[in-house]
Amino acid sequence: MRYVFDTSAVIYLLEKWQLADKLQKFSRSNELCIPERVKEEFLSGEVDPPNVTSLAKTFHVCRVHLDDRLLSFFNHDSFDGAIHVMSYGLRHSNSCCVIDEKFGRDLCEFLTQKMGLRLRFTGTIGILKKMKKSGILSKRDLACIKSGIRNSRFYCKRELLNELDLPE
Amino acid sequence: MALTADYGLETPARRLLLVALSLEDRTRKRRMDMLHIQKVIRFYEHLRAKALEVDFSNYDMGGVSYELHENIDTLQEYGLVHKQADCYELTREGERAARELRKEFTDDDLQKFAFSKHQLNDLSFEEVMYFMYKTVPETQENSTYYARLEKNKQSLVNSLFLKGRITSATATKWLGISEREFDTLLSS
Repeated sequence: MRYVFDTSAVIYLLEKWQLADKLQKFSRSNELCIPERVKEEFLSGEVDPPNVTSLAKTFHVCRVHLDDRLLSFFNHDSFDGAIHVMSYGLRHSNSCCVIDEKFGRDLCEFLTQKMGLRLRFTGTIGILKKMKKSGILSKRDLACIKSGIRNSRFYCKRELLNELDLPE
Repeated sequence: MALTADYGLETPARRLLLVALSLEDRTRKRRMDMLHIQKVIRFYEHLRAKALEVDFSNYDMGGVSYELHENIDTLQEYGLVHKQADCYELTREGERAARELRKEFTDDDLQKFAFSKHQLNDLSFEEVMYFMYKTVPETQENSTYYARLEKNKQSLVNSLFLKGRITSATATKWLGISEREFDTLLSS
């Protein structure tokens, strides 16, 4: 599967949970991409040099043709990384958007349910579940991540978080 | 198109009012108060990015249309709209008329209209006002109320973000801080 990540997902996976090595293992069987705009968003502000290196090692930067149908939903502006992620997802049916922010996820639902567009999407928890299933994340890794999630603004439903404990 | 002709619903204001009241919001409600009617229709016009179909002027409360005010009264007199407390809803005849009018919209316009109501109708008074002042900046022009809301912008922006009405990129732009600062702000 080809996953295309939004900025907040990259910040959590790479910076906050320090999962670069695990993600690189995951990328042996999956393609992990970011649009150029997401790369810019990630690199804006203070970023530790190791995270800059990890970004380049883990994610392939993909070329995006903006989907005009999305522009009005983003206030006629393309500065937001999510519009690039969704544009890619709409154009490449074999890809899946990784978006955590409620606006982006709600919009994905609106596009698929109300507008009948084909767009696959998941969140960072979905990626963690895949990594767990592949045996890349241990119970200890998951316990650390869950504790990190509880102490951050990262939003996810408790049931979703508990799914990380369930045997596959 | 019998009802459209019978009630003179060809005018944009009447058409937009009836269709706005026929759409469901996030909470599956259709009824709307006058403020949300005004803002949903103004936001829909903003999403379309074409010449405005209805006249809006920028007052203290942002973009306001007297045309919409006058026409909602007329639609009530015609028995197409019913007012309960502060909210308007369609009567059975109004629903029939709205079904007829929706056929005149393109799919694209109807989707934008649905998105507008989906985004705004369940927001509080202050949230919807702030969202519109920031999204359509010219509506700040003659407003003193905007300056009052600005004093409370952090809490309004946080709330709009957590409710999924704006992205973190928009939130940081409105607050004038970086994504990482915003993340820290929300965690604290």
